[in-house]
Amino acid sequence: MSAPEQFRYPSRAVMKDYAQAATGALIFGAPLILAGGNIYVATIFGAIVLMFVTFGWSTWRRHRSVICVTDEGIWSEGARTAALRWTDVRQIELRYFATRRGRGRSERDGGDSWMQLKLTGDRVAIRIDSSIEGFDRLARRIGRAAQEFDLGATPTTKVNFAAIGAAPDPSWAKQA
Amino acid sequence: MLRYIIKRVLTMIPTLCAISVLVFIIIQLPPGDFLTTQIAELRAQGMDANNAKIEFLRQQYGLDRPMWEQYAIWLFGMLQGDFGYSFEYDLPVTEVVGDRLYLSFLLSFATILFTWAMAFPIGVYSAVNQYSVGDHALTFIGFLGLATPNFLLALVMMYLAKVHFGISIGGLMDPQYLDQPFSYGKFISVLEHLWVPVIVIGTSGTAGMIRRLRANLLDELQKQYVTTARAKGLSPRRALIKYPLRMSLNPFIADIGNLLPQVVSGAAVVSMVLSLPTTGPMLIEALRSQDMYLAGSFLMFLAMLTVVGVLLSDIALAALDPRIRLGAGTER
Repeated sequence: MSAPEQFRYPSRAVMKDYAQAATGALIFGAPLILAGGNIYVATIFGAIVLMFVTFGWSTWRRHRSVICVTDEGIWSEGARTAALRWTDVRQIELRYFATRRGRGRSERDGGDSWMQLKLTGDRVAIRIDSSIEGFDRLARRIGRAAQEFDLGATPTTKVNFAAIGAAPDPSWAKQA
Repeated sequence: MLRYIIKRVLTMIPTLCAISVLVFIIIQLPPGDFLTTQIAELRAQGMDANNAKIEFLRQQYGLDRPMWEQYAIWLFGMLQGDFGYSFEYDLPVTEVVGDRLYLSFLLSFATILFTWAMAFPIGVYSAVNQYSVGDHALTFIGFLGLATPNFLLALVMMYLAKVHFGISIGGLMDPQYLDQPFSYGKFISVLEHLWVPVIVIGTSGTAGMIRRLRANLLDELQKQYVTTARAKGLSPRRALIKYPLRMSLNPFIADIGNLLPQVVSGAAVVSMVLSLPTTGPMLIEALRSQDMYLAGSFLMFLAMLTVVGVLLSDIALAALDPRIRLGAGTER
């Protein structure tokens, strides 16, 4: 078995998410305290605060995770534990998100867009954000595995792989 | 997706703050305030206004305070579910609005459902059968819907509803249910009356949406991947539904943000013509009489609908089309 290549989330990448979770929880939590007995206000703001708390918890789990890749498979260590052999991967998804239309720069470049890579097995799913250190290298490696093991990928995913230069070869990206 | 929603919700905060400031400035812009409007009306009727009483009321309502202080009281009140006091009705805004808000929601929701239920199949049919008799007929009806003013259609529909269906003219329920607690009979009466305003308000939106969906779908159907899919033997239905239809839905979904406030504000004139007990006529009256907290709450509500609508459409778009936008300069 080959030595695993490890990928981690750098602190500076997750700090912004921690700050956003805390800001949101504080801003929407304050009216919750002020609301007193108003059930409608408490319900709306309570739900939003819960969403920010969940996001903070999810960020913490991501921060504590390490993604390991070998020629045999991929797994996640730390707060999120999951493992998949390449032969067990049923679906790969590479999704693109941008909070402002027409803004193309990634978070690392101070922009508002990011990507999420999701590998799904029978009962396991591994999610990787583009803020992870060495995401390009990791995506290329997963792209190669996708071609080698003929893993399922949606046309959108293939187009996205090609757009970031992580498609194993042009013919793979064109197979819709 | 959670991360996306979080970021979008955070961007909503400065937007709503800016809107609240603008709304407050706009409702304060006309010279004078609610009391000066009332005094002018009293004097126009030949009645005298007691200066001491006016000063007392000005202090009572906080109209003598600086603008920023009035804004702060209004804003913090809203965050606690207290939308202020209506000068005209002499009641808290929440009590004044009461049932009207629920009825407005019901009317708006029904109108949106009607718009989509009508526009979607017609738009798809028109695009797939371009230049057919059906397409021409539906396009003609669509143009008719776009060109007919809502208030005119409202009058025609009221006449038709009374003559052919025996429905009482105006209102959202039969007169005996007005100011009565909610009951099954009242619910049925509302449903019987609802279709008239729904058709009137929804027609122009439906026509516009049919045009947009038809144009978008035609663009997609003429792309090479559709030709390739057909050449490879994919059934026409699958070649339509699998990608072209999904792609053409993007502007449809992006429209949600505009649809919500349009339906609420567009319904105001129709509500006056049809005497509907919704929020629209009340908003117009509040703006006219400078009932600042009532008008401000309504305007903030409309702004909130817009912002929430844009948020919902963005989330739906992100879920539907997670492709990298190369044209916008991607992240790499």
